[in-house]
Amino acid sequence: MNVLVMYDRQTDTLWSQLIGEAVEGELAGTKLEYLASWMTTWSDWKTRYPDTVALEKGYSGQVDPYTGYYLSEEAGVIGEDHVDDRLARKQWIVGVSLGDEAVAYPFLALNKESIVMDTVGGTPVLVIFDKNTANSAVFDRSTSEGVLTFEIEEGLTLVDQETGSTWDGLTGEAIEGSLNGETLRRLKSTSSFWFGWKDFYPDTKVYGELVEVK
Amino acid sequence: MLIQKLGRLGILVVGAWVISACATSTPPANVTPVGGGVEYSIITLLPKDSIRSIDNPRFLDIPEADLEYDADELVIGVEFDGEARAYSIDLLSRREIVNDEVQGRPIAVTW
Repeated sequence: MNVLVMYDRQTDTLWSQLIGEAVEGELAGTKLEYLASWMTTWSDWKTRYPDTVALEKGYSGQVDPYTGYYLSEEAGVIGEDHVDDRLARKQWIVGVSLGDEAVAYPFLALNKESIVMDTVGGTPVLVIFDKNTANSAVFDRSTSEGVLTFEIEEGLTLVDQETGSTWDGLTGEAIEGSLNGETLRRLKSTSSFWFGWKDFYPDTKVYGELVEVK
Repeated sequence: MLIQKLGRLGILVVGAWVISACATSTPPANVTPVGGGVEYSIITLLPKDSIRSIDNPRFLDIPEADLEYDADELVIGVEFDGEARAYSIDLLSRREIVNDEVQGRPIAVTW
């Protein structure tokens, strides 16, 4: 299903990037630990982290060879495994997989709402999306004061209805109020094309999809 | 315009080696259908290291970085124990992996 495969030089084991796990070789079955990262613009990142450094590129500007690919209808190098046309193949989604449930949150839906509160695999989640940069993060809404529900105060600053504390939506940190200093547990999420996500998670739900009530 | 920006974003699904997986149509009840429940085959498109990882990354302070990075250039940002680093997605699109170490922690930044 068109996912980057890596090898380690120490053992030649093969590792799948999407699931962070060794799939073939001596270390097969080993899981890599995911660490929190954000995808955003350089200007946004250096504003948030004024002491940041940046990887030396050796050139200026952008020369991405995949520009034509992103805009095309082609899906990966070998085509897809099965058709699931709930979303267009190249539509971007934020993917969350917890317990035995996977949910795809389309960028187009997140663009309208900025924050979504949901439950995935029994965990109450908060999905936050910055429509200016496509940066996103997903957090567990459980805290020492129970499960919180959030509203946007301004931009990506949130306030919870249970304690009235103010939160930085992208870091999940309470910055004011009775929960000041507490940080929401960040959950693993992936920004992906729909075609890649649904091949790996064929039973995925799609946020915003109407489900038939029987 | 968001669609314009989306046109520049990279993807998670490209590589020199490719996994192709077929989900089993009726997974057994005791097997989690995601991730490890799929069968797969690996197709080799290019020899190893046709796409060279970045193994000895060097970093620039903001004033130097501003000479190489556009304001709207997408980056992957990480922050550990107070140290923040940004990795150009434009460069990662071509090199795929940066092997780095931040605050003593060995990490692989992948695209």
